[in-house]
Amino acid sequence: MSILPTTLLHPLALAGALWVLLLWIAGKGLGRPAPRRWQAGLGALAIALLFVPVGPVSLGRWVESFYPNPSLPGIAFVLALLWRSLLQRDLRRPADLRALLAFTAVAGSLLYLNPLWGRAVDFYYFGWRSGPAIWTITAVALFLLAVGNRAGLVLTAALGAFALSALESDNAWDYVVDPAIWLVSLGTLGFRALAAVRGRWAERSARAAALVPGAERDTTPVGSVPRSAPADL
Amino acid sequence: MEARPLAMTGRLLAAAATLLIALAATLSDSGEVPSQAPEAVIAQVEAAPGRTVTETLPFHRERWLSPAGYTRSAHCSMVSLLPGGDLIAAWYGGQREGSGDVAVFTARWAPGDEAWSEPQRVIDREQAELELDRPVKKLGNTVVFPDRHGTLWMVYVSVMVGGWSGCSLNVKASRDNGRTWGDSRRLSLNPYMNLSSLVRSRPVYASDGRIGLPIYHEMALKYPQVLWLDPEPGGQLRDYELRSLPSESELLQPVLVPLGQDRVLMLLRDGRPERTLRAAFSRDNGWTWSPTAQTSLPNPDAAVDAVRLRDGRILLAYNDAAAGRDSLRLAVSTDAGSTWQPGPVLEHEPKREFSYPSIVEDARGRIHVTYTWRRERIKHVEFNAAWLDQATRTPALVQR
Repeated sequence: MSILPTTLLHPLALAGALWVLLLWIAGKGLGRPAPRRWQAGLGALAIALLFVPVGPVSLGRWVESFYPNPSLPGIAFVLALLWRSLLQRDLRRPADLRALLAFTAVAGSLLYLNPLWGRAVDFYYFGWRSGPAIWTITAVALFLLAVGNRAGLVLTAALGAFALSALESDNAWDYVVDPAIWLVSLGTLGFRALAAVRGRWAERSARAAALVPGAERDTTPVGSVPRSAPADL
Repeated sequence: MEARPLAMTGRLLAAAATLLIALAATLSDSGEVPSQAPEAVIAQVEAAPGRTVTETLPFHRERWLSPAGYTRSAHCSMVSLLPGGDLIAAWYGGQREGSGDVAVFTARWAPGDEAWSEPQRVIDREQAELELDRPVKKLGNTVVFPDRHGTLWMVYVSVMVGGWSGCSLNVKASRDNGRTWGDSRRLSLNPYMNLSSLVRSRPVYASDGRIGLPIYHEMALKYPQVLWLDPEPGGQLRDYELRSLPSESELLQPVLVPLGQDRVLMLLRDGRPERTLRAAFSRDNGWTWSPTAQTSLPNPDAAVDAVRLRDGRILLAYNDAAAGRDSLRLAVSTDAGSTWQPGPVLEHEPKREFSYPSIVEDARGRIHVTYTWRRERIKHVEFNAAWLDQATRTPALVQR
């Protein structure tokens, strides 16, 4: 049995997300980051919104009902955004974010797309009890910690939350990935991959233009899209 | 301002914590039933020693399980044998399938009784909302089954949003054979926001105490699963885990029939254009499964039920058409589900619905089938093997 109320992580994630949203709206309205007094007030408002009754239950319970298992990487993502919104400082380095996004993208793809490519291997099954999922997550966390990546701390926190049954689910995979963070990961990595491909293409085009005698010299910086392709390509 | 890399001390402390947590999670499992194939499974909890009678004269009797007009619509009954020898049935009823006023009912019947008990309203939408502390739009399929510790379990479907694909499974327990029930608890069964797990058929019982409940997933792809429950003596669930089964899509509402010697037969409703009942086999007590194969029987995308009788034959109740549920029939297999011989027709009336059968054989050897009758009521048919034999030999005699 859980020693924590099952709802502990849900209000944290939801209130955090609402607080980030309110801070962003206030920042847009003010044209600058919200001042300290505003920040505290918006935080209180975000928490109060959780208790707004919507039909038979509160807004917080509605969200929890539809989204019963917010993963620790998802919660960490929200808290990192909140930290930056409040203090204008980053909790994590770009490498930390990349590692977390890559892990959730791979884990989510294995889990959520499993029925599409056959169920000879049932990945979700490996997450029950202390199955292979626990030691897979442990191995990834140890590797990330060894290279000084903070994503390892998030996975350690996920293992701790699993040991305490802090979410509704008893499956370890639900503590390290959820559908929202999976989609965010795929979207972000996909966007970055696309940008990298475009950058490479632009670089190659620029090099090709430089090798052609008499071709118009392209002054577009390497890594960006050229304004016009060389005439002979 | 960018964060700094983790310091070496922090890395070492975090690594130690990670290992300790993983070890603790592993050790906490040590007292539980290992996650592996059961050594044996049986179809039902051993009933109280009953007087097994080999009846030579055919016996056949029909009763109503739900009173006339009790609810406008009644559907999806499931009958189960209690350890004392009584039967308990559960079904849902209301204005129509999926309406907000649908409630789950149970009723009891003791061998020799003329009629079933008055239905007991176990849970409705409002009560489910209170017990689960979450919004509930409607209730649906329900199964009841005892465990070997004397607890009666109920697993029922509740929908938060949309149709049946937006549902979850909830569990209730009773320590007095269904007279009173504890609060509902939602089971968390899949990574898709815990949506789209449904139940229809009775479980099998493993020799190590686990209960293998056949369930199915219905969102986007439809496929069968087996939910292995590990109940404690006090009416609590110690643990549960789910195994999804390798099969083609559009196969749902699995029925499990233990065949002995580690073999289990699974029969599946067919939602594909072929519209034939499909079967899969397990040689390790329901842990792993063969690919599914067609049977010789049609299936109009409707639920079936089957039991292994004490004489070794498998009795199946099914809708005998590739479309429509207007004919409900029995079939018998003498070769562990490889071939089927169609038997007596229980109901046949064009453009009416007779569906969702549930079968159980009681301690005396009497066979009980409950089913949806025109979507209005739940009907109970009781017969013995002698009647089944006679009616199978001369099916025309019992056709309506």
